[in-house]
Amino acid sequence: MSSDTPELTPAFVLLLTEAQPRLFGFLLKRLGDLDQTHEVLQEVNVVLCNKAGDFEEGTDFMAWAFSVARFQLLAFRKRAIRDRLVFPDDLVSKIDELDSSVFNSSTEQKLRSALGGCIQKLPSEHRDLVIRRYAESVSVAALGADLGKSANAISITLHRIRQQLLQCIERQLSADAG
Amino acid sequence: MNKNDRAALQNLLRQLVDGGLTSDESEKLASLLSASDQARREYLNYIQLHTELTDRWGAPSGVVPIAGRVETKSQPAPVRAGSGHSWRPWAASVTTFFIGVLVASLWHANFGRDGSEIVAATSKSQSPDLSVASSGITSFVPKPPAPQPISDAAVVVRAEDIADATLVAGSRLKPGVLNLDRGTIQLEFLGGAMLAVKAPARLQIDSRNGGTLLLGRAIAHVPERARGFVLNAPSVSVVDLDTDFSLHVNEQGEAEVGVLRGELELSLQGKDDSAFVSRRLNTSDRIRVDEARGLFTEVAGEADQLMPKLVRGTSPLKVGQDYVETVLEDGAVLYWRFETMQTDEIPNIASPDFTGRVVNEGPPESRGVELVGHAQFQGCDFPRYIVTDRPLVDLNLGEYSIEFWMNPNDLRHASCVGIVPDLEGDDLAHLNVFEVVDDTFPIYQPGAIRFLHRNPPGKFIQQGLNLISPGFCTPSTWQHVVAVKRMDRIELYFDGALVKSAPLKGHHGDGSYHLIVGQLKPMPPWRQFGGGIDELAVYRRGLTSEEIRRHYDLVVDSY
Repeated sequence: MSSDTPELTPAFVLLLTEAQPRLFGFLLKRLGDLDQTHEVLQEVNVVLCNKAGDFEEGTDFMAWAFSVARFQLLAFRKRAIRDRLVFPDDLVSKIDELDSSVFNSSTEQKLRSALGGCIQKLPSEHRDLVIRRYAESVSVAALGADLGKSANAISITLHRIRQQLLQCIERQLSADAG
Repeated sequence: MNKNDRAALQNLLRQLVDGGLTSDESEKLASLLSASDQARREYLNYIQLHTELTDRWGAPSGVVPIAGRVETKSQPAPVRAGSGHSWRPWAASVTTFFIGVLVASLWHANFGRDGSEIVAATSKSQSPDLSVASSGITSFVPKPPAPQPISDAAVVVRAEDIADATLVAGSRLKPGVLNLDRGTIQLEFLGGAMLAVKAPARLQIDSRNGGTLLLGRAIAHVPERARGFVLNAPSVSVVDLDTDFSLHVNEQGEAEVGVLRGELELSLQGKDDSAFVSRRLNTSDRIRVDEARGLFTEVAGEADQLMPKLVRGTSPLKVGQDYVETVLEDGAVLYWRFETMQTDEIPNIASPDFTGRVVNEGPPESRGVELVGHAQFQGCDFPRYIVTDRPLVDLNLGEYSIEFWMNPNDLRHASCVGIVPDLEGDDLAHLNVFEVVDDTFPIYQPGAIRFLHRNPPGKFIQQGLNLISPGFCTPSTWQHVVAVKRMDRIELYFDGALVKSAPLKGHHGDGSYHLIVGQLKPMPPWRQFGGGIDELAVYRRGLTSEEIRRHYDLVVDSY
């Protein structure tokens, strides 16, 4: 943060904080690489902080943040050497188009609501594992060490849980729609 | 998408969110997604779910920045084990500016030196700018600037007789080439492997999980969590399989590999750049690589005496009587100094109450916890910890402070100190917990300090307040940690300076609490801390920032 960076208000930082997971997901979908996603997310945050003075409280922060993320993504792809990019341009376009059409704020709200119910339906040991992975910030390697299993075994278990959740969400959304 | 492709896609999705893909796997993912609309839908659904789960829990709520810029006094050296004097570059005189715990741009916050302000969210790390060689003797020359590999890859743990004054304990290193013309440097790669390198040497740091020794002698210790660490030589690749090994590369680029413990996979790249000759080595094996003939030749005789020493373990923290008296004068109600282990009890020198009790549920001869002037913890597969003999009643009704010094063996995710409502209940129930965290989430830097305050204690994760520092923590270094719970906010101090703060609304309440040191809960043995803890004190009031600074100075000034 350079010395001419605007002073960040607590409200702005809270918005920026809360936006991190969604910005991360937005970028990961389009980059397909964790390290690159971290890198671009950092650049997005820099821009958002530097332009904090442009943001008016009460306007749609996420829409603004996504537009910045989209721009930074393009800038990253432009300067990155081709070998470093996971997805070719045409694939990114397809992913972007599909993502924008499937996941709008309305569907995300429904998805979130369904997810809450589906988590409650998980067996307690699976629910605890998800909580530890996502809420207690325990890596799969650390979970494995705690539970006497390999990181790969934990990852596979978490994958199965995610698949269960996706199936549950799909059923729930279908039932709601029907 | 056929059945095989779908299975492959699912496996790639799992790996992508749980750790990342290799370049081959990335290529496969791109191929699958390019070929099928259904694959793209599954891909988006999966990452959306991962995003929702992270959004639901992964972003600690309610944490706001310390308002504006916070002036800190000049910070003297932290105290490093093993030598009488050391300091970290980021602990130099700084004007700190922290935006907030969760803003990922702070991963790469750069702490200005010599009184300059912190520059957040640049491509620099908090380590010094290592691109400028000092005197041309020892230098750290980064790779070409674009593309920008900005993640830190390793941290300097020990630097002996190194000409470049910027290479000191605590320096974070990004991928690049480390040139040593003299001295010895010990690194911990952020993936967990430890490496000592002795000059003359050239080490190319490739990532948090690997590097290439271009010249010189190196000793590596790779714990289980870093299994798969790769150390290349010009003609050979050493893939670690949980082992300790040595590697010597001479001026001609010839390599010699020795296994001190465990096993490893040695691979020699063929002249057609695709064929490999591999060999599995076990303890005591010593092999010289003949690149020209594609041969591995066994080496007899004594081990190379010129190899550097990999220093592990914890030296005592130097604490004077003035520090002890100050802690007592400032009103500690519990003060454990861990002086000797004549019994399983640790006296509280602040009052007759709250004696510490060492619990070791392993075999009698096991040494999960030792009191050697500090409490020294080893990682075990059984519970071992220190706990109060009686609870602190109504600790959370008012203000309080918890203070200790810690010296971690490494940067694995570990619980140092916790405040728990009972010793047998819910596994996640904590009023407070101090942890060294890794970078499971993008919001954390490896080596960050986490302080959690959650009232009522329980599984309601969303109710907790987390304060998480930048990646300050350094292995084999004594570091001062204090958390203060005030009536309107919680604060986290590191090495005498306020690093994070958050407003507190409510979160007070009655109840009796035990102090537990060394792991998350009595059972099971989760998140065990390995290393030293010393001078643990609890106060039933909020220490002022001046008092905390003074405590820190009293120890640092003795070095």
